[in-house]
Parts: sequence; C-alpha cells; structure tokens
Amino acid sequence: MATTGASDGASAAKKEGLVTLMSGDGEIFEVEAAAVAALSVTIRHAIEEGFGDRPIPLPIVGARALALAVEYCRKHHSLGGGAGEDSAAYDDELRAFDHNLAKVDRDTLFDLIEAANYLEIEGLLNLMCRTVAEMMKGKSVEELRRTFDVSNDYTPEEEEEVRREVSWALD
Amino acid sequence: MDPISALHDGILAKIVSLLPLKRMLRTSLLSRRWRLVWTTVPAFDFTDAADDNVNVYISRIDSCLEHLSASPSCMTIPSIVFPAIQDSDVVDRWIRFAAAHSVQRLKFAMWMDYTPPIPFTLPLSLFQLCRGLTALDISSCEIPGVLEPVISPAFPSLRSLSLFEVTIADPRAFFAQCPAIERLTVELLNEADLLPASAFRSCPLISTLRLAYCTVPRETPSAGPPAFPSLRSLELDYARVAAPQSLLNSCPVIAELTIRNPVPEGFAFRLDPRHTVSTLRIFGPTVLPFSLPSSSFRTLVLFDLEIANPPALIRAFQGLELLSLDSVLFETGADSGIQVRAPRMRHLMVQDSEELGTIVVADTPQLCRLFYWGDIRYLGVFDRAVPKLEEAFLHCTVKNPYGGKYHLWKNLMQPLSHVRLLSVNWWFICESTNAVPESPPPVVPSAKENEDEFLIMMENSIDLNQTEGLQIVQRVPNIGQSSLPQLKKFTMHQFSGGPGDMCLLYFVGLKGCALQHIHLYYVKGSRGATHRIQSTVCHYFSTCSPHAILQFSKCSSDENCPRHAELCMYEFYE
Repeated sequence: MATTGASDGASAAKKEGLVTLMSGDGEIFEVEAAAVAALSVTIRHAIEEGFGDRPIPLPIVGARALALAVEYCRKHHSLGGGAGEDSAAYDDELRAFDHNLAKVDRDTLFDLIEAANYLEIEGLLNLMCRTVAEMMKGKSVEELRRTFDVSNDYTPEEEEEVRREVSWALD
Repeated sequence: MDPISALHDGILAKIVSLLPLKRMLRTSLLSRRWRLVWTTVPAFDFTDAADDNVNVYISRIDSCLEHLSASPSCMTIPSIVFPAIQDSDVVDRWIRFAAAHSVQRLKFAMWMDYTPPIPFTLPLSLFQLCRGLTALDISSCEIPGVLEPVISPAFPSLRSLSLFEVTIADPRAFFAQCPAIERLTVELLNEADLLPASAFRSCPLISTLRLAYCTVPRETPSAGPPAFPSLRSLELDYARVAAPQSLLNSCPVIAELTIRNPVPEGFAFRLDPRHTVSTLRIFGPTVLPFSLPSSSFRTLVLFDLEIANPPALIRAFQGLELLSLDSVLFETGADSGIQVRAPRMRHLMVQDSEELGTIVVADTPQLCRLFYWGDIRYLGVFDRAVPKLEEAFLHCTVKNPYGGKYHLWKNLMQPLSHVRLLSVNWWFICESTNAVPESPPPVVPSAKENEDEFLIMMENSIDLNQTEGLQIVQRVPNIGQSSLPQLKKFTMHQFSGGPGDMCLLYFVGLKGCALQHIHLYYVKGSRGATHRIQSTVCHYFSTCSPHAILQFSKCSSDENCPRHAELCMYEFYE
C-alpha cells in the first residue's frame, strides 16, 4: 500500500486524478479516482455528484476496512480492468490476492462485508460472502454458533419446534 | 449482537443462498434472528432434499414450500429447481407454488434414481400461470397436444428452453407458445418421434439449437423465409436427419455445426464453400468420408473417427486456427503420419491418436498452444516450426518412452525451449548414486527472454513412475550449462518427496536465480507430506533462494487442480 493510508488531512492542495475519502472514524484517504470509481458504484455516484473536491464521507465504513477495500479496488483495477472473476484477465495473481484477502480475521471479515455492501463493490461483496459460506460448510449447528459467537436465544420449546421442522436436514 | 447476526438482512440472505438446501435450513436453528433468513433467499434447488424413497423426497419438499408460503419474508423466488417427479398432482402443486412466487427460471431436473419413465402428462397449469418465465427446463414428461393457455403465447418472455426425454404431442402448437426463444435444447424420449423443422417457424430468434434423439423428416419445400433465420449454432446428437442438405440450407447464418453420434449412415452433410460454417465438430463413432471444402473452417474438432480421405483432411489445415484430434485414425490402407503445415493455426490438440502415425509439427508460424496426450514418440516438432509457441502440454501415456536415448528426448524438447509455460508429466534426469546429482541434469526450457513461468505437472491419472514423480534414466555426460534466469514461479503437482522430485528441486534451486515463488502440492501420505522432507526443502531453498516464498499445499482433487482445465481437452469442445 504505497499511497493508501491515512494522510494528515490538511493537504488541501489536491493532485490531479485523486479523490479524498473519509472513513466513519474520521481518517482521510487519498486514492486514485479511476480505480475506486471503476469498482465502487457508491463512490462513482459521489464523484458524479460533484464530491470530487471535498472529502467523500463514508459514515459506516471503518478505516481498516476502507483501506482493504481501496486496496482491492486498486488491485482489481490495475490487473483486471474491473472485470469479474469469470473474465480471462482474472489470472493467478488476482486469485492469489483475493485468496489472501479472504484470510482476514473474523471481525475484519464482517467489517469488510459491510464496507463492500455500502460502497457497492460487487466483486468484493461476493468474495467475502463466499468466504463466510465456506466457513459455514461442514459444521453442525453447535459448531456454527461457536464459530460465529451466535448466542442461542430460543427457548427449549421453540428450539425443539424448529428442530422438528428441519429434522431431515440435520443428519 | 454478534457480528454475523448484525449484518443486513440482504447480506445474510446472500450468504445463506450460497449454501445447499440442507445447510440453508440448518441456519434457522442458530437463533431467532436466523429463524426466517433462509426464506428470503432468491433461489432454491430442492434436489438437495433427495431420498431413496420418493414419498419422503416429495414430503420434504412440500414441507419446505409450506414454510416458505407461511413466511412473511418470502415474497418472490426468481429461480427454482425441482426434481422431475413422475406425478402430475405433485408437479401441478409445485408449479402453482412457483407461479405464486413469480418464478422466472424454473427447472425440473432429471432425477438420476428414477424408475423407467412412466408416461406422465405435464400439467396445463404451467401454460396458464407462468407467463413470467425466462428460462424453463423440463424432463421426462409428455407435453399434451391441447395446451389451453389463458392468453397465447403462454411464455412471451421465455428465452431459454430445455426439454429432456420428453414426448411432444404437437410440436407446432407447443413451440408457438414460446416465440422469443433464443436457446433451445430438445431431447426426445423416442428417437423415431418426428420433429419437423417447420415446427420452429414461430421461433425466429433461435440462435442456439440442440436436437437429440429425434427424427427430422423431409418436408416439401415451402416458400417464405428459412426456418432458422437467426441460428448460429446447431448440434445434432443421435438425430436422424432425412434431408441434411435442406436443413443446412434453412440456416442461412449458421457458424457452428456439431454432430454427435451420427445415425445411421455416418456424416451425411456435404459442406461446400457456400455454407457459412466456420466451426465443425464431429464426434463419432463414424467414418468420415471428408468432403470438406478447403480453407473455409477455422475450427475443426474430430473425435472417435475413421478418416477415409487423409489428403482432404490435410488440405483443410490451410485455414484452421484450431485443430483437435481425439481417438482419430486413418482407414486401413491409407498413408500413416501427418505433417502439420497450417499458416493460421493457433491451437493444436492431439489425444490418443497414435494410429494416425507420427504427427510432425512442420510449419505453424502462429501456433501458440500445443497439447499432446498419448505416446509421445508419435509427436515430432521441426526446428523453428513453432516460433510463437507459448504453452506446451505434453502428457506421455507410456513409461520411459525413450529408454535411455537422451538425443531423442532432446530432439523433441529443443524446438519447444522458448515456451512460457511447459507442462509435462515425465522428465529426463540423469541417474545418480545419490538422490541429488553432482552435475545438473539436462533441462529445457533454456534461458529465454519471455520465459517467466515453468510449470511441471506430475499430475497423472495413468500409472507413470508415480513414486518417483520423474523418470530417472541413465546418466548423460556433457550436458549444457542451462539456467533459468527468468523463472519466477515454480509449481510442482503431486510432489511425493521421492529422489526424482528432490533431484528436480535441487536443479531448480541451483539454476533459478530469480525465483520468487515455489509451490509444491504434496501427495497425502507420501514422503513429500512428512515434516522431515519439507524441512529439508525449506532449508535448501533458504540458502539458495532466500527471497522466494515456499508454499506447501495438499494435492487436491482434480477439479481443484489449478491446471486441470488444460488437462481436459473436452473443455474445448463445449
């Protein structure tokens, strides 16, 4: 990440082709407009609406998730021209990048899903949803609750009822 | 709330929709938040509810549908797959459910375990309630002659239709219900059933058509536009075509013609330069008399064929960009051996066709991909015949093809030494008393500018020297001092940790001075999976390529093998 990362925010003099993003926790990112606009529908619209000169506020996106999302956009823009996974340009390098990105810790994973959803970066959202779905495979209900820290708020009677409804799917 | 349950409803639905049905249902047990998440999913495949007992199968699906209908979160379900159960009442019930949820893509999937098809009639509700369909798949049923749609046509938006093992009482009346079809597959239950070309006149937008197990009768020529004005791609499989020439003439813009299992008298189409076909695929078994017009084809794929007229085949090479020969042979008495001279050819694939004799790549200035699977001794490449070759996949199906004759091996490999990606499943390495030889073994590719990846596939479903991974043959003195200055990534599949593998790694470490990434897929249970061998390899590369990333992964199934696609010639046929 050569140019991503929090800048001091005071640099009002903007370089050509850059756009400023402000994360929910107030960090400022200066990134190439072309790369993020190609991948993120939200930012594309913001730029079109004339946000180009002011920082674009992204209230629900944290700095860490934003940094990763920007890195994703930049990588996919430079290597794949923003194309989806099915295109021929989606080569080993992008696959390796996505593979590594999907290895983030669990909390970052969910932050990144929220960020991708808010920024409307379809490829990133699909990648992260697939990662969660993969984590869900091969696990019993108990294991799922443990993996994702889901607390069971069913009463025993309710749980028994749901269990009966889906009993055939439990073996 | 825990982070996953805090996600937006739409995202949870998206995640759950990636799970098979059983796992989807299980999520409803997690907590109250999850109770109805599965009912908001936009696509269901109910074939995951399969059971040996058909009644159990049906009742499982019915119970899902009941929950979905009762769920306030379930509005529309654009995509649904049901099993093709042979019961009109059940199917009618399911169609009504699908229609009530504004289905767009509906499929009744062939059920593998089903008993011999009992004739069952497709419920008319399909024609009365599902006007929004864009894609429909139907299996194993009778389509009645009287359809009684409320408004005709019944499927004004249907773009894609697949029919498997069906009987169609009145093809003309049926296809009149779907005037917007672009992709159509029809596979009849009974090969003798008639499917006249004129039945498709009400569907002028068909661009892709597959006809299987049917008979296309001769019809009296009619005035008016051709039957298939938009057809680009036609596939016939076990299709008896009474008048092949007139069928072809009714497709004025056809570009692709695929013929599988031609019946009864072989390949009956006479193609001449007037026709627009540029891609021809023929899958036997059959004898190909081969009256092809020369230089009009770009792509020619032949499988399981006997060729009666070899010179005609060789003449057709002139215009070809892709040639694939699989299990092809010349008729007895014909000359054996082919010299490939093709000015435009970019892809050449040859598999299990030793009976053609030796195939010599003689002059193919544009060739960029060469695939060979078979006895490698039947392949030859002339010096300077493949200046633009980028990828070569050579899979030998015999053990130790050249014996100890290094020069034969070198003759084949030398012209390929500039490739960017080389994949072989055997290797020529000198014998050594130690596992690691003192002098480097002979290796191609040699140093070249554009060589940035050097991939060795040990993938072999056929039994080669698997324990060693490599052929270790006799010592060859005075091997050139080749090196791999541009090699950045080295991948080895089916790393077994045997002396052959170790020998190759040793060589790669010694010669690959720019290595950045070494990836070894070890075979479970082999020496390559042991800590001892892996730490030896780590230690070795930490001294000779300290900046390279070394990665070990378990050898996965074929499907996950990163180069599996290249191994499947069939992928090219599709």
